Amino acid sequence: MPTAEHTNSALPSRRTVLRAGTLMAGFGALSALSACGTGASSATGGSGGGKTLSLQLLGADDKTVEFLKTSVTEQFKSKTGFDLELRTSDWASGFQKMVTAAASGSLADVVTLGGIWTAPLASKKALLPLDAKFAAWDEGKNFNPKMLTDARYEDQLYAVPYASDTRTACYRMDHLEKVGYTEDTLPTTWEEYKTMAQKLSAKTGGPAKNPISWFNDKSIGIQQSFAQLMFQAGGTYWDASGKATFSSEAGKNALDYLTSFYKDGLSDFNDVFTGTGAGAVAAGRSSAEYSGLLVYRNTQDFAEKPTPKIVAGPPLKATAASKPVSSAWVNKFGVAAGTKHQDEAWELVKILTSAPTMETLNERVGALPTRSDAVNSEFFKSLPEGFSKASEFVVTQPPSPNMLAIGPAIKIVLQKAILGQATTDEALAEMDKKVNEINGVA
Amino acid sequence: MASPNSLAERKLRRAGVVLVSPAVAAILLISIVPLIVAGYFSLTKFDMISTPQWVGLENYRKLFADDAFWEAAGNTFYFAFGQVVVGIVVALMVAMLFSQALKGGAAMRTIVYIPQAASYVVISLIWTFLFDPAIGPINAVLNGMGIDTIYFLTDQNWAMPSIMVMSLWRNLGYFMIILLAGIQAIPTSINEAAQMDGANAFQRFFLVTIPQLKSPLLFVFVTWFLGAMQMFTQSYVMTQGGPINATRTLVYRMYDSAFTELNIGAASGIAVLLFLAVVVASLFLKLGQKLFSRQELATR
Repeated sequence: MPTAEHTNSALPSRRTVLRAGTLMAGFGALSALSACGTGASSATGGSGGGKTLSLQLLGADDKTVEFLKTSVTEQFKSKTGFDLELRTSDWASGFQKMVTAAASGSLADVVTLGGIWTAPLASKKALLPLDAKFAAWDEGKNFNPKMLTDARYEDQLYAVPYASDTRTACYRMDHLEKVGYTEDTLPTTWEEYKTMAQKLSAKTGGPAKNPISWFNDKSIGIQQSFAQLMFQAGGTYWDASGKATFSSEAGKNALDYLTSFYKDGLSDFNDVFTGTGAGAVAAGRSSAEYSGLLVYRNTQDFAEKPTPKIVAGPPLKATAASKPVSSAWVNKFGVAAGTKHQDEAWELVKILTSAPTMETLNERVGALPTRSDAVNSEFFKSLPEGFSKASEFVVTQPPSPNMLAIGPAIKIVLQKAILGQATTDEALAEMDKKVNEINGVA
Repeated sequence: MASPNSLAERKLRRAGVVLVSPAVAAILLISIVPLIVAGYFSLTKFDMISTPQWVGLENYRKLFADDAFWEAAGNTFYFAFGQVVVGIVVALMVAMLFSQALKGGAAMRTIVYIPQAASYVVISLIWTFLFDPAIGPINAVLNGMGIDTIYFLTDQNWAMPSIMVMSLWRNLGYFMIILLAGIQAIPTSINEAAQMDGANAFQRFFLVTIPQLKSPLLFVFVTWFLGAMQMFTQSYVMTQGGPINATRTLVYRMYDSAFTELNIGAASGIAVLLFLAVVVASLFLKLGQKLFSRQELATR
């Protein structure tokens, strides 16, 4: 057993411990400081010491990043003298990262915004209103006004759109031709669409196992299709007082119409697009889908050769007397409310949404332009022209701070209705209840 | 020997405090402080950006009145119990197999262990493909045998069991190794004595091996169960909580509350309740372990 002296000599003295503690604290502080330095440096390797503006990109592939690092960075540097720091992330966790960054005050100066993100972020005062700057921009008039509505919240503009996923009825023409349709005789009403589906069904000798796909993916695709049907029927999410109105005549018509395809065996609940590989249309299980460029690109990439022709049809009308409606999910660039460089951030937004940059970005992400003069790229010219025509009939989702929660809630109720676990009336009443709860409406 | 109050003893104690303080600080910072913060947030209305507003127990009242919360709780317990109970039986069978002197046993053990090294995201993507009704090999084999396509991830009755099977496959290797170590630690003399007394293989397994494996089995049950209670990734990647709410667990509900609804108060409330559920479950299991130990001592 060691003696007291022995133990004593082996122990560090109080001074040694204090000195070691001070050193450790010093190293800790240095590490923290150096970490701060790393965070502020430019990902593009910009000249050290110069000012830097950060851009949060979502879902950008290597080629997009390369394009932004070269062309956009150079333009931006020459106009403002600032370097550009690119921060990249995927779409799936994009909103979550955006909110946590806003909460911690580390949001990038310029941010990418998804389809229904404007209201949730603007309502939290995380975005800078851009009305005055946009009004003073002579190119502002070139933007599709309907797509600008998705960038507004409470009558203020918070972002500038650069890419549209315009949804309309898309058709696989090799299937349609087998049952006597041409590009000139595509359906324009719900009734015609249903008749076409019955002809396409394998049960009646047609080419498709499940003729109609409703963009049923793991996310909220089917809710997006239902929303489009509801708009076509003249419905809305809620009335002027904010009270949900799914249990309206329009909501009932839309849900009855949607579920009838499943009841009649014209659509399959289990045919879910997983995001990889051939979707239902590309694989030939379905002949038509309420979709956007995704179905076109998916068919180009995964269908058997020769690649079947995909056509974007005219937006459908609920009846011959009603208005045709398509929908659009619009991506945008906004400016963080907390930026210290508002003018430079706006300059970057202008570059990112200029016609030449938009053309390149649209090609990279597979989207349609949001301004009338960004239509000169080979990519755009190669697309089925029906998508552009459909953009004229776009209705975007209502700008609500709670839209991100409302979509999934409606989707769950829709699934119950499709599976026969709720009647149309029960499902619509449940939608009203859930949406009112989410919106805090009595 | 130095007296308790001697200078050397005090220095020794002080040095001990200094040496453990980084670990204590880390535990406080990483575990205790977030728990306290979550407890506080659960009593507020908070969207992560605005200032939290005190609402008392309102978040808990809403949670207890929310069918979706109870559905998620049911799904969580179904997943945890289902996976662990079946998993322990399978892991024990595999461990018994590997405890024999098999040709290529080491290689087989490695193969069974490999999935543990892969992330849940990767494995979930692979199994999404395996389960695919149109292009997945499992359904191709079933169809080849004349069995109708099974919609593993889109049928409400199949979705959770399918995720359980995948999770069990992923975790099997780790828990099998623990049980194998337990089996190999049983003195061979006990089995030999039982054999000489006329016990057959089944009797030796149930009356010798299993009682000797009480501690490893309990450890495997506790750790596997507590891990399973926090299931999220598999459901997020493979089904997004669907169809309807069939695979939505408490952690998934918590994620939705926090990042879809921006309702940090409700999310924190779920976190606190999940923590309490885990603590209660752990206490019960600990109690069970003590009872086992007492029984063992009494029989000796």
